[in-house]
Amino acid sequence: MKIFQTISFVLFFLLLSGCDKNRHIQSYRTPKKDFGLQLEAPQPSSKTRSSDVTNLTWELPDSWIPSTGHSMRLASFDIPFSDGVGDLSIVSLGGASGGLLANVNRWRGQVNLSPISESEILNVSTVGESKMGPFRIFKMINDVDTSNAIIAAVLPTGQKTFFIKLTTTKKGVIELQSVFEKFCASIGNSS
Amino acid sequence: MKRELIRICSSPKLFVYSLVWLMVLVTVGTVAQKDIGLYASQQKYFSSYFFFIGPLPLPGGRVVLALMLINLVSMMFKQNLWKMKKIGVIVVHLGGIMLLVGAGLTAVFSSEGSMVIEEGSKSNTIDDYHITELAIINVSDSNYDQYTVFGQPLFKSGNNLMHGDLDFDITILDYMDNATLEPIQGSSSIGFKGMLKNFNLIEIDRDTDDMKNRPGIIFQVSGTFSDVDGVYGLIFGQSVPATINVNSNQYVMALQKKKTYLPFAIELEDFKKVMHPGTEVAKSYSSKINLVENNIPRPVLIEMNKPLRHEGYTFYQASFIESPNGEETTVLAAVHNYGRLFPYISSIIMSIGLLMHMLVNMPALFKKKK
Repeated sequence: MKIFQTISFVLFFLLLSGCDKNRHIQSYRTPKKDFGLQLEAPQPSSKTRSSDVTNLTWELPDSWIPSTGHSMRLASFDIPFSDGVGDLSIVSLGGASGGLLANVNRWRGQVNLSPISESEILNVSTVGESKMGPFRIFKMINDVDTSNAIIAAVLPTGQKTFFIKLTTTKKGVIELQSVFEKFCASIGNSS
Repeated sequence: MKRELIRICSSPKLFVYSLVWLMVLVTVGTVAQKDIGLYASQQKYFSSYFFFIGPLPLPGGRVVLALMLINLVSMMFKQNLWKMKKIGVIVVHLGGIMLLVGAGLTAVFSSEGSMVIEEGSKSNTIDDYHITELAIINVSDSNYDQYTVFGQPLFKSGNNLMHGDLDFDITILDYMDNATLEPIQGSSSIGFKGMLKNFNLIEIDRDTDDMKNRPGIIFQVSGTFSDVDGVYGLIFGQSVPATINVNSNQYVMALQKKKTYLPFAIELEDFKKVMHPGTEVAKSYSSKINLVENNIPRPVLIEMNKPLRHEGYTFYQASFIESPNGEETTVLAAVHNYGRLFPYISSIIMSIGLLMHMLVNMPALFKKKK
């Protein structure tokens, strides 16, 4: 009989251990990690911030043709490549604008790719440096349907985030990636 | 009194009613999946002690399984069970107890998440699929990051979170399973800091696919006696990290998926996918990895249906990410389950018990025939 009393005691102890608050608090050290703190731009006054939309500058490749886009766009370009023309848009939104995860997954949805987690997103992105600070580049390519693909850059500058998005085909992304990255790196603020 | 308690607890009726209720839960939980999603349904009906239908509290899966366990254990205290001819029944009951203990261990201690590794790099962290944590990271030291992490079960309104490594206290004000940000029109409240100066953090309906939910948290920082004290908000996956400076220490604050650090690392040497001939549909994936333990690498091939089992963890080939320039990233599903072997062992025990019961009662059966 004693063995069953012991079992009951052990079970009761296990039940109690589930209520220990401290097991939900941990403290540990890890090697240094890049938290992208450099992405945080200095916080200028709101007046300066509003001007950096209109005073945006960039170095435009010769073959890019300005086009009329949606009213939300700061600028739009038609970008020719060997198999067609890609559509590039520059949009500025306040703050983090819904966050990196939501935006990237929204773009993935536009090319019929399933959403991925934050860690997956960061693993497949690359980082570049513009005149306004660092940006991240994301490529959304669906191998099943190569007729729609996106390469996009996210450039946070404190209170505003700039989204530079090129909608094209898989071939277009491969051909235009290098020039797209150079364009993003050239983005600055004239003020 | 003791005998009466054992009589009630060991009543076969209790087991039968529990079993019937379990069937009801399985039915209701399965139907509810359609509306609230698999994870939320699992949490509400099976991983809960109680759940509510309107104002009515009803026993959840954990309570029902605990009752069944109590019932089986109480059966063991019955004097009339301890007879040689009931040895098979005793063994079957022990197998049942073991099965339920294993279920308890799995429910309390098991975890599952993903490990994402690029070709040529290695990882020793697993990100939980569902559970979040509030990480306060002191990044002031040039050699290491000091993490203080508070788990999701602590995210209850009014809960105070303190730790000796922090120069401030945290009070949870609100936790949202799924949240979104809305720009503030006009000026925000004076006490709001960081992102909340420009955005409202608003709870929205949960998505049925839990992976699409973006949890959010609002909390108060106090005890710095400076303008750092105030109300902060974080949302899962925010691109710009929230930082505060207290007593010459810089802290990064993040709401992240619960991270588990492993005592070993996995290095992805090569990821391979085989396509169905003439199609773009993948037939199979495999990851050629090095299991690095104490700086000694051991080559292992993880394939679909051929997982790697190590130190209680099981790594399955779950998915992959392929970039246009040919860089490949593997996604491994990592499961840690202390109760993994219990169903196998208990099934064997119960089979042996049934066999013993049959053998013990066989002579009596033959006698009756004669």
